[in-house]
Amino acid sequence: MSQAFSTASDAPRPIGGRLRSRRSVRWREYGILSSLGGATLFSVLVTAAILFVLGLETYQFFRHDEVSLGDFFGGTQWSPLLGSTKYFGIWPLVCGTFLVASVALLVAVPLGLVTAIYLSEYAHPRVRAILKPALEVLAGIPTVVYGFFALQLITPGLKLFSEGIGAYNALSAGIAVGILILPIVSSLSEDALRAVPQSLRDGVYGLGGTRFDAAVKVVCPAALSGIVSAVLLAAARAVGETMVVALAAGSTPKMTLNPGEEIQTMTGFMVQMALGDVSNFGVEYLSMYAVAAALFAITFAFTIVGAIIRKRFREVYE
Amino acid sequence: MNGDQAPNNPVVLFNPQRMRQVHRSVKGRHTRERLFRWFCVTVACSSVVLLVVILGAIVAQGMTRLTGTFLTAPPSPNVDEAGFFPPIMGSLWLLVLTAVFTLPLGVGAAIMLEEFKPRSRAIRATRSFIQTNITNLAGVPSVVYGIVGLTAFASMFGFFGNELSPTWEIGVTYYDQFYNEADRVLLVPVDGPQAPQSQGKSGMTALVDGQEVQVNVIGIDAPWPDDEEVAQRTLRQGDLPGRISESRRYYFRLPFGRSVLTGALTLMLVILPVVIIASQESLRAVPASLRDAALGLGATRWQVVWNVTLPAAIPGIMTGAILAMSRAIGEAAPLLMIAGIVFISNPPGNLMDDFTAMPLQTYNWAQRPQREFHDLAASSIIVLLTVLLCFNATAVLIRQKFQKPLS
Amino acid sequence: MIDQTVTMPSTAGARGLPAPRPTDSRAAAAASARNLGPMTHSSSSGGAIAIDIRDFNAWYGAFHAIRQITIALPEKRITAFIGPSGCGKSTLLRWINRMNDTIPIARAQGTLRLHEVDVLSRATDVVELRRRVGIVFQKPNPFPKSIFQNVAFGARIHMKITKSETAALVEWSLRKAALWNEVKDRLHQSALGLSGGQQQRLCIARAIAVGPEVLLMDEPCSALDPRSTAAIEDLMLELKQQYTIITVTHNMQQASRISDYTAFLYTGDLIEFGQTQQLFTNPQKKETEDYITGRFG
Repeated sequence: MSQAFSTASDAPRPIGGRLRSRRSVRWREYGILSSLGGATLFSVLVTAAILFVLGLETYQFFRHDEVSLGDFFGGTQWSPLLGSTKYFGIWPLVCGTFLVASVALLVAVPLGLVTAIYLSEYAHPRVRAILKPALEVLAGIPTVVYGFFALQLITPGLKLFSEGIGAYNALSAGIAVGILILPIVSSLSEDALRAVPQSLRDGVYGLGGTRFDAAVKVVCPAALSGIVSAVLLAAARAVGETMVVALAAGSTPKMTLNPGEEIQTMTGFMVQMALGDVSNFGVEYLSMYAVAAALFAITFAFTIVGAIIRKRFREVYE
Repeated sequence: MNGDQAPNNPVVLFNPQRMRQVHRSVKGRHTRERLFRWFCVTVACSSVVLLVVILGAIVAQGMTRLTGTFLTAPPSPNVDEAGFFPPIMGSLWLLVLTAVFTLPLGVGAAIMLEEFKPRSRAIRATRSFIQTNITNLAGVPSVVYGIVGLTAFASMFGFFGNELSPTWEIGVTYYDQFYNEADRVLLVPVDGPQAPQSQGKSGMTALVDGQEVQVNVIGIDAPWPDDEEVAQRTLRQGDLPGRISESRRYYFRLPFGRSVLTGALTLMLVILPVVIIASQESLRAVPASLRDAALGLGATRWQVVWNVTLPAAIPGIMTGAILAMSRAIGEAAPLLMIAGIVFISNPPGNLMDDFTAMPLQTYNWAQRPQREFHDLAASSIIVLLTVLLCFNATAVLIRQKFQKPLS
Repeated sequence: MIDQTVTMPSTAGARGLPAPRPTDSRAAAAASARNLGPMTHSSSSGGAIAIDIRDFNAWYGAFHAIRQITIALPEKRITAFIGPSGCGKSTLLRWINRMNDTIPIARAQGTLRLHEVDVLSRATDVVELRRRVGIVFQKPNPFPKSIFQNVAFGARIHMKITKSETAALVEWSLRKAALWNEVKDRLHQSALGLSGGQQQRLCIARAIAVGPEVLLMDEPCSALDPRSTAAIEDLMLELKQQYTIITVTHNMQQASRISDYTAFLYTGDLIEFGQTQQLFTNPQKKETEDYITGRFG
């Protein structure tokens, strides 16, 4: 064993045998790397496909004589199916969508945030061990179940309180969507709260602060960027939610701020078109793509703004 | 230094009288603390209450209709005979196909992003772009994926004709089907779905019970032949056929149409970002020291991945994959865009078959006005949730069984 | 001796289980509740005892971290705890204002008195206790708020004071912490933008803004560069005119430079306690001599 330097091939080896050929190793490495690269690029391809499909069909839609960009973005009436004149003003659908999403956020943000504070700042490990799985199960329930729940339980329940609530209404759908996004708000906010270093809580306790002082006056403000981004992600989810509104919100596009009324959301309209017997090439059918493009743009904006807020305003501790 | 302790010092700490005025009551602060704590407990427990209410209401409503018939029969307009079998099978097909498409792609992309960190600036920028892109894809509403699947897979932008006359297909034969007066079925092979209707001609070849025969055509007023053998291959002039198709297990066509394959591909789009992100997280959790040890022995990067990182990350990847698959099973919106609500009485037999899935059938029953169908919807939800519960339980088991510290 | 398990600040005193306790301690606790009023800046000169620790034991789970320590810490002086890592000096320090309540497995037994207050008693309100006994941690931990809000934070949770009073208090505290001149033009910028040494002085300003009598300093300079360390040491010497300061340090030069009294702890035992000069020049115990001459530790 006195050889100081030697090439790999004549270095003493405990067991005889040939080394793998370097070339074959390298070629296999290239082959694997390129297939993995292909898998990675597929996600870009998906984005391209979304943009291409929505862009192309939306372009076809606007080429029709019956529609104009001004009407689409300025009009307040949406009735592509009924009557002799078709109206393509997207605002009623946007209004319905945001009505449902607002109700959902009004339900989910307070509940989710307080749950997150409790889980991160107060809960005993044993209570956590019950609550966390419950929230996970709640998050895992299919959305069609929430739609059924809204239709079967929430709407009849609301009718007990108010006469004016119809069989289909935005309030009921909004509450169900709120329950659906509650786990998103709570788990993402909890992550943000837990990321706040323990030393800050110790700082509050060292000054004679209570847990309330620590949680509400220091930890929550420190985690604000994470909480805001959680709310934005939940909002994106609420805007794009389909099955609940298809079942419980109704199918009447309407400019209204009264959540007790029947409305139609963007997603609700898309489902109606996909289920209906409309010719595949008519302007009504193409309007589905224009609505989908608008929906995509809205949710994309929410997601991007959420990501930016999370990155830009995150406090960096040593 | 002691000068700043004078009674007229503006600093409140040095003014005992003022201190007594402004001092917050400690008791009050503790009361607030306790109230806030109880408020938190109440709100946090409301999620458990909600869960119990939702599940309880559905189980109470659906239990009565949850019978053997329900699990084995096809859907039917008659509530008492209606069953859930084709949707269960449809979901099973979707599950297997989606897993086959998604897992290699998702895990591969995660390995690429986590284990092959690029050194060059251009590739690093590409990598961070792809990472952002995946995060954004995870936020795209599933109904948008549905509409993309409809265009990209079902109709393939119209490049290959439409579903009724696909440009290319294999594993299917089209026939014109004649019924004759002896109640026999004569199948005359034709070229394609859009071929002109065949006319009964003497001497042309047809299939009767799988046997090739020569068709014998007789006039409108001619007497029906007595001979059994001749009668079975006899048609009367002017008999009109119907067009049918017979597809094999390997039936395949372009475009895919509203088929189970389209459904699975669309679900793949929905859960691919989820699988990638979950796999990335479990790969990231593998301690760097393990990788360094293998690299230090002279392993190539792929050898490190295959022999060290991937085995260590597999439980996490599997957990993520199972949770993603349970999301796929429960997903209704994209399938609704693709399959719509159609009456399906048979489970899919090949990739190009029409299909329905559990959440679709649930939607179908739930949106009907009659109350009996709502009971059926509730029963179907019980089945759906039971399946999902099994999935989640498996995921939890894997997580607990394999979650050993690695360093 | 009563085993006194302690609870978190939120519930301290709330679930007062009637543990068998000598009546005088109960009376003392009641008295403390009355006396824990606003400022208690007594004008008494040094020499009086601020913190009296007797037969004190502490555990983390089953680990016996501090064994049977008896020590009396004088008022308005700097006392340094020295000793090798894991000797229990930080543990002892953190029990003086019950910061160890945040660690579920931490437990203590014995007598620990701050003037008339029985610190370890269940009846003692940790919120009030910590207002009287401030703490500065090893790593500076300013809140992600402005410099002004950081200093005002503690005061605001304890008192309802006006804007001008708050401003005066913030200025006074920052001046006292020798930070005012460096930050007076950027009071409303984030405290996270300060340097490490500035952050630590900010934490000191934050601690004195609530009007404590005792300042606990848990290796306040160990995360800082030599210049910032010198600034903090000067500040400690300045502050001892008004505050009882107890500091933990690894650095023996620092202990000899700044402290009046030094306690040497080793594996949970108090080996030696005395005037700093005497302990460093003429140690009574062999372990002390070995440690300060660098033969171990």
